[in-house]
Amino acid sequence: MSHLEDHEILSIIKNITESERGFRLLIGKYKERLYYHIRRMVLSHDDADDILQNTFIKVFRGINGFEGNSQLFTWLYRIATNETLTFIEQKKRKKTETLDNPDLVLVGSLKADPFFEGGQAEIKLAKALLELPEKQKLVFQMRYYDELSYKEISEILGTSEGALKASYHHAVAKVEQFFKVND
Amino acid sequence: MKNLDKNENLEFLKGINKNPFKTPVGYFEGLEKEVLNKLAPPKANIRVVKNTRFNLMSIAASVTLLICSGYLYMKMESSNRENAMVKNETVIKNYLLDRIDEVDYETLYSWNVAEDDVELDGAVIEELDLDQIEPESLIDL
Repeated sequence: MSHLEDHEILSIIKNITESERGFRLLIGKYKERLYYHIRRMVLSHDDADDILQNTFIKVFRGINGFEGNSQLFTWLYRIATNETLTFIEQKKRKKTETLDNPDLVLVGSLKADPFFEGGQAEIKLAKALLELPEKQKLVFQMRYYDELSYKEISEILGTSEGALKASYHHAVAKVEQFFKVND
Repeated sequence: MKNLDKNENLEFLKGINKNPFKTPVGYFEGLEKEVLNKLAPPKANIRVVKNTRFNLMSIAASVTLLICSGYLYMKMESSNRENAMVKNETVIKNYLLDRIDEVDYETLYSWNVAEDDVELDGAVIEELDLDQIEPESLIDL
């Protein structure tokens, strides 16, 4: 993993002769965090892999337009989140013709997934998250799993911190309720 | 939980594995390479230049072309010769027809009638009015 600061990586990328090395450093620094952020939303490794690669390709193509108004890290998260939401939307549109609830099928397939090592509790949480509206689910994941601050989530999603706090508390209440009902 | 407040700790989720997801072995190690490969522009196709030095097909084609050219050349030559002959004949015929006006009809008659025939057709010849006969007809007489 790269120990360079974001601004140092950016200046390497913007130097034409070193841009490839800079981009390697950027991928090395953020690949795992972005991968798990995406994976928690789509559950499947193959899907997460595709989305992550597309995310980095978009980052590379748009890096010259990054003006540094936000942190590099939140900019990357925003691209990854948008890519993932677009992917989920497209997948839902394709699958609703044949399946009543594709998300439930996906969660059900976790048991057989060789790249999933969770138990019943983890599957139960995944099912509980399916009950949430997309925005609440995202906020819950960023706060609970990624442990991002409200300020960072606000930069990523472009929503006020107050609204995010409300979304998170609604999400927690619903998940808790799900656990009580399905205990 | 570095960013979570104490009152945000979710007791009911205690013991949950926050990262139950695994990746294939070596996945992260190969990721940079895979992404950069996708970003690299496609390599231009290298054109393969065929060795035509001993290409039998090209030799056969050249020989065929040579034979065809020779045949066409000969055909053109003989055609030109025939055209020249026809042209000469026309020139001679025109020349003769022009001369008919200048030669008297009796001379023409003498060119066309043998001495033996004179006796045989004498009576008929006397009856002919040579002034009324077209010069071209005289040749046929």
